[in-house]
Amino acid sequence: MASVQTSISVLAGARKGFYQCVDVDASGQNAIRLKRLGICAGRVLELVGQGDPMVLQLGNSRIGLSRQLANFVSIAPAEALLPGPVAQDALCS
Amino acid sequence: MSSPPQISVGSSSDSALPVVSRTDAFPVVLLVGNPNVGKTSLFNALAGMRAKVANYPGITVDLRKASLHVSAVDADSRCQATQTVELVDLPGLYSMQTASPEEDVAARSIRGELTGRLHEPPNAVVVVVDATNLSRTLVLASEILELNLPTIVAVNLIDSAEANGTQIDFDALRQKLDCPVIPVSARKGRGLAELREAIYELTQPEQKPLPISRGSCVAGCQGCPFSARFQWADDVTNQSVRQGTRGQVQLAWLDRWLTSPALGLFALLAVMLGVFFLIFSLAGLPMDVIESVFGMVGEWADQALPTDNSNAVLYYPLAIGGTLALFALAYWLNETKWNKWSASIAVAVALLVAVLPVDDFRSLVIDGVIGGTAGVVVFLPQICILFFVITLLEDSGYMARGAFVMERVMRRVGLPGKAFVPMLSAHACAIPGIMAARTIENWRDRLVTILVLPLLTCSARLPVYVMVTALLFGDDPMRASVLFAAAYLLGITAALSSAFLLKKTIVPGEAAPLVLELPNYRLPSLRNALLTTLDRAIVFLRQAGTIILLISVVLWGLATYPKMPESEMPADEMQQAAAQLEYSIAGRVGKVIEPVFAPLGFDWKIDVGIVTSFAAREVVVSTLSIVYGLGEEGAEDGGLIETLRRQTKPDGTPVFTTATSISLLVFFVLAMQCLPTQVVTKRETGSWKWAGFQFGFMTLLAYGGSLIAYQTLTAMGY
Repeated sequence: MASVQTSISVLAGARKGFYQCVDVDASGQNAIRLKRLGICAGRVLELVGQGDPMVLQLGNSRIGLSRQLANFVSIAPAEALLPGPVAQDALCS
Repeated sequence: MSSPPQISVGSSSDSALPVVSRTDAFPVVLLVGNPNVGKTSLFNALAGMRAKVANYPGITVDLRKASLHVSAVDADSRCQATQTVELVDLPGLYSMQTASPEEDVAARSIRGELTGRLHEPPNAVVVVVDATNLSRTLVLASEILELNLPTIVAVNLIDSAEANGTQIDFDALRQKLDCPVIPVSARKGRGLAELREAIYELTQPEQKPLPISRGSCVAGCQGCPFSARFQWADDVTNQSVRQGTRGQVQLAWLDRWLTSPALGLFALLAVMLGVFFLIFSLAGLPMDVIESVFGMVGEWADQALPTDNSNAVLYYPLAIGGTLALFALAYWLNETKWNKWSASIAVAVALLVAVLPVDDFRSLVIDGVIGGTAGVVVFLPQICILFFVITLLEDSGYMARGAFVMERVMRRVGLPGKAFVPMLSAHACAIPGIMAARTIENWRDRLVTILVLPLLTCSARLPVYVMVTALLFGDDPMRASVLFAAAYLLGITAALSSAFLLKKTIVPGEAAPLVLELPNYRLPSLRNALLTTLDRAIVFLRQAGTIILLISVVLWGLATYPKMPESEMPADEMQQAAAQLEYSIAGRVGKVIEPVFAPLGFDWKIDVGIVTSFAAREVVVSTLSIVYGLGEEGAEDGGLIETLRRQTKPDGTPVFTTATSISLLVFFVLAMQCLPTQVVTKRETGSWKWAGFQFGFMTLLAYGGSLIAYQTLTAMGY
């Protein structure tokens, strides 16, 4: 499986497009609030509206996200990791 | 200093609570699901008018419950076996790892960690998922399924999914989830009979289910468990759903507009102006009706009540029976149980009422009880319209966009974007505003929002604003409207700066940064909005109505006793009420506190108005009318304004100078002076401590504001 060595950046500074979430560096309540809505390692997200707060599309869900929280989210361009999201085996290895 | 009040599991006070055994009670079925999956609509569709807000010990979060008859579906209805279950609508939650007090209550209910009826795991759980967004909403289902409770998955919004071409293979889904899966549409009433049957099957006592042992999708997983659950939900969805795309694309442009910084704010402003227009244009008529109905009831009571108690056989049973009936009604509304204490209080008060002089008894019924109740009920139309429209906006998916665009503005004062809706509601009435603050997840953010909400100009302040603006600029509409707008602005500025200061001092911490689901747009259900409104109206009447009634009676007592001796009464009838009020405790308190309020430019008569309007600020207008010798009717026409203008101090200068009038206006913009709000603050924060703090800081703010206004204006020669 592809690893995440290429062009990792922070979601807060990203342009519109598809990304794969590499890591969520938040703790406590912020971590839970992000992850339970699907902003967690391995998930593909689309940044559809820039700004603070920004708008993300995750599958069929739209999520509004403040820049402050977006700073905790590391992403890689989805093309580098596609096709397909990270398999569960990779996450659970 | 501030912590969520909701849970007190395991505390010493709980140990005294009786543990209710489920064996002799109805099975408990919990309705669980993400926010925005139509869970409450489904509850309403199943329960209809049978729903009621339940008080479970140890929590202050509202849980709605209903006794639900479920039955096996049989072609011959005579053969149908039925079962009654207690269906509980839990607050929406995204995960068993919780982030708000409401979610915490939901998760603990599922695990059976609360007290009373919820002290053990439920007999069954119905997990509601969204057919149009199955992969996201199944994530919670995966957590619930792992608890190995008897579980049903209800796939709601099946009509919307079908409308956009989505096809779901329910057999595959049942196999994957290893539990009954029922397609439903709460809005169209589809699948409800099947859901009831599935609940019936799962709650049969004689059919003890085998120990359930469902596999965990995160078992042995070292990575992020959330990620694994989302992956599992994706896999399940991919294997059982063929996604449709119809009807999804058309609204993308709308969302781009509604979430853009400039257009979004403009749209929000337009929507909110529309809401206010509705409130003020539609509420007028029912408010008038309520006022005239109470007026008629008062007149009827005036005619019907005996004017002398010489017929003791009739009078005493009437007085005692009437008082006891009123107590029974209040206890029933407030769900107070009859025990030796509550019964003793009712009997003692009934006996006391019976021995009152007959004129006082009449005044107590007409002014205290009927007048006091009218003062609360009159705000019901505004509250109902507000809740109705806000529920429609929430169900449509718009409210989340409103919170989204307000995030940037509200963060500057340390509050989240979600605080905007409560603040807006508070411009009609603080009570629905405080109730609407429940949508704010973070407890500190919610607390600060609740504390500052009553500073915003509610409609009960309008009579006071009208009085003061008429007093100062009665013949200059331009200046009058500027003053009116300034009063609103003062309220907004005070609320936002108080929030900022509270966030820096007493309730420190930045607002929880925004991460918010923007749900898909959908057509809201009128039925759901009506039922939600009904529910809120009952909560309002029950919580505020009973206590405000008590306080109205106490204030009536303060303004009535002690009675002025006949010999000292002035001959002029107009002056009698004023003289009696001056002689009463309220009048004496007004005189005692005169030095305290003198730096604000208030004389003892205005102070009496401040004392009597403690529970409801608009009462100041009728009180001023009484103390200045006009009688209550004087407040209704222009007589009061003219009389107030004529009032002079002992040195001959007018009482209501510009400085005093502005000072009075500032005081009523900023002061608490609303008991129902205090009761709701106590209810929502879980303690009188915060209600007391709210009263204290607002009164100090009002005093300080008025002092500055009066002293500055006096120094400038006004």
